[in-house]
Amino acid sequence: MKKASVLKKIKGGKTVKIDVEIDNGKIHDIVISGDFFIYPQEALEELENKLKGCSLNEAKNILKEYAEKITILGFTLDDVAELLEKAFKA
Amino acid sequence: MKKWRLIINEGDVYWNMAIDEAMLLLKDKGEIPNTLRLYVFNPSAVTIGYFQRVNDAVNLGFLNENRIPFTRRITGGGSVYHDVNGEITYSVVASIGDVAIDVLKSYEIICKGLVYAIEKFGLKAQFVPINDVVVNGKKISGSAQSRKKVALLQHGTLMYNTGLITLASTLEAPKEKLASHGVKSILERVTTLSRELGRTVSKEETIEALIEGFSKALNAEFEREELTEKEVKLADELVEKYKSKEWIFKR
Repeated sequence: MKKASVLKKIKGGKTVKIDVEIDNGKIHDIVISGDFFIYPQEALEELENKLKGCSLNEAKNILKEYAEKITILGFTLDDVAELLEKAFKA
Repeated sequence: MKKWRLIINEGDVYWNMAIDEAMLLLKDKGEIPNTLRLYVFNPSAVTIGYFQRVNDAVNLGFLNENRIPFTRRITGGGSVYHDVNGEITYSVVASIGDVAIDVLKSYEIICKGLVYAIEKFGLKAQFVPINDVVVNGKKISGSAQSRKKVALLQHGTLMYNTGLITLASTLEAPKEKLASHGVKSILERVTTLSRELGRTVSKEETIEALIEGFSKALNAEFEREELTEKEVKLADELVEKYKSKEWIFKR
């Protein structure tokens, strides 16, 4: 099991951070946090739960699917994909 | 002009957040009118955004040493220091259709109330998307909005005389930086009405300006009222959540 904590400062001032535990190439646990806004708000926890158990590629597909469904102000799910990639490589 | 309710009151951080949530829930059910609430945090307190991790958002050691209470908001955004002698918080609770369906647009419409209020003092203020209002390039106000099915709650700050050194100490600065750098950079980034005007601005003048500013921004005619029994009762139930470790340390 490896743990990674990666953060991105977004232009315009917001910050998004992921704390992730990776086990055997799959996401065991993940928390996405920061000073952003998401509508509907419950979508973030739902997304985190969906990402658990996913490989990097599966996770990227789920992120794409959610990008269509929810409104995010302050970052994009591409930023999360980029952070996940960093965490898997770390 | 449309009739809106105006509430002016104060409370501790848990009760203040409970009242805002209670108003949002009851507005969503159509049980209360569109409302502007202006209030103070007594004692001074810190709130953090719904999606933030406590340790990333505040300096816990400083808050505990100085017994500054804090809780998590239901709204997103960043951490805020609410100075009892230097900051007024506003809440707008309204039908989404009476403000704007587009989220960014609704931030702008409501934040215009702050811009107009600041202009009453002869200062130039600017709305900077997503949720900031700046004067001379420095942040003087931050806002955050939460939505239910048909109602929205947007609350935010206007700093008229906040102790900026305390503000800098309560909010988390990157650990690699020395504390003095943290204070210095925060002092360069945020400001207050008093600091910009070079005189001590009072709470009363700030409240008066906010009422006029929001009246213009929302095309609202305010009628001063008190909270309903239903709001107070629901808030009394919600207040326990805001005091709980589970909620505060949720992330």
